[in-house]
Amino acid sequence: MTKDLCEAVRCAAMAVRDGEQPPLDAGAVQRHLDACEGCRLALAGDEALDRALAGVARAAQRPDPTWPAVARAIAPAPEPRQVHARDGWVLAGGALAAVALQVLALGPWVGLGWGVRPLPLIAAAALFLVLRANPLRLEVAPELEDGTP
Amino acid sequence: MDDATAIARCARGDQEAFRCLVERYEAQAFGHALAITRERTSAQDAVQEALVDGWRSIARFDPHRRFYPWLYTLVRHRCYKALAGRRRSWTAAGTEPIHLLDPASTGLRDATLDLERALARLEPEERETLLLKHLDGLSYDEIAERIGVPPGTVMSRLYHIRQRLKALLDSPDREEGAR
Repeated sequence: MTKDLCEAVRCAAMAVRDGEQPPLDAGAVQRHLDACEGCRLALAGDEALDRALAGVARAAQRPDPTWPAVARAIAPAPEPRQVHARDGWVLAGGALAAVALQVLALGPWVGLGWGVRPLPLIAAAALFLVLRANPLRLEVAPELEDGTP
Repeated sequence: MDDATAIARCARGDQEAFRCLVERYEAQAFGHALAITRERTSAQDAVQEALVDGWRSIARFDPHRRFYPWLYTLVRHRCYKALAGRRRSWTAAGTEPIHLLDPASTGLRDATLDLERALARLEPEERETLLLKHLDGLSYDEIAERIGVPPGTVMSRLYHIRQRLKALLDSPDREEGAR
């Protein structure tokens, strides 16, 4: 008997025990078994193993509650901070006023002195606040995790 | 709430519906993850990550499929990713003994322990396939769907896994040396 044939017969016998369609027909398997003592012995061992496996059940294992961690992970990301139109206009107006005063201060006709020197700083700060509030609703798309189906 | 209703609601962003699915399947998924990782923390993490993956992709879920086999594929993906990470970092598996089999399920306690020890020495893919057959009673087609191979491959693999398990039970030390 060839090793390949013996293995095919044992595999087919296993499929029959598992209630599946065997790759060889039942007659061919039986004829082989009648002639091959090695396969008869091997099948007796396979059947004993199947009986042992049939007698066991999965141990009950409870995980820690999964939902709290899952809920945290799937919670919607916080909305980008909204800027109210009124706040935007106030900040923009302040920035424009600061720039206008700075322009006025360049001329020889207004001697505002120390009163206008901090104005560039104030204008820059106002501009920063306007941009930080993201009035143009710019968003960065979240990166998809590798392997997520 | 049945699975189909819960899934439809999840696709509309209903987290409470997803909570129903999580609580319905977390123990089953955990048992399956343990069979692969044999480590409680890895199994727990894999299930959590798979559930998050599931939530993110549930809008693409085919409603004609059953939910759990789909979730299972996500869980096993996370389990094998964790095992690969463990191999890369040379991290040993946890020492906490994991019992995959219920010792009370058979009168032969010693035989169950022998089987448990032999299962522990199979490769994760081998253990997974064998337990899907024998503990879950899945058909070759169902196992094929879960692990993503043709049914004929499942049959062939099961044959070789059983031969190896038999060898481990017959003479565990010799089998260990042969590998």
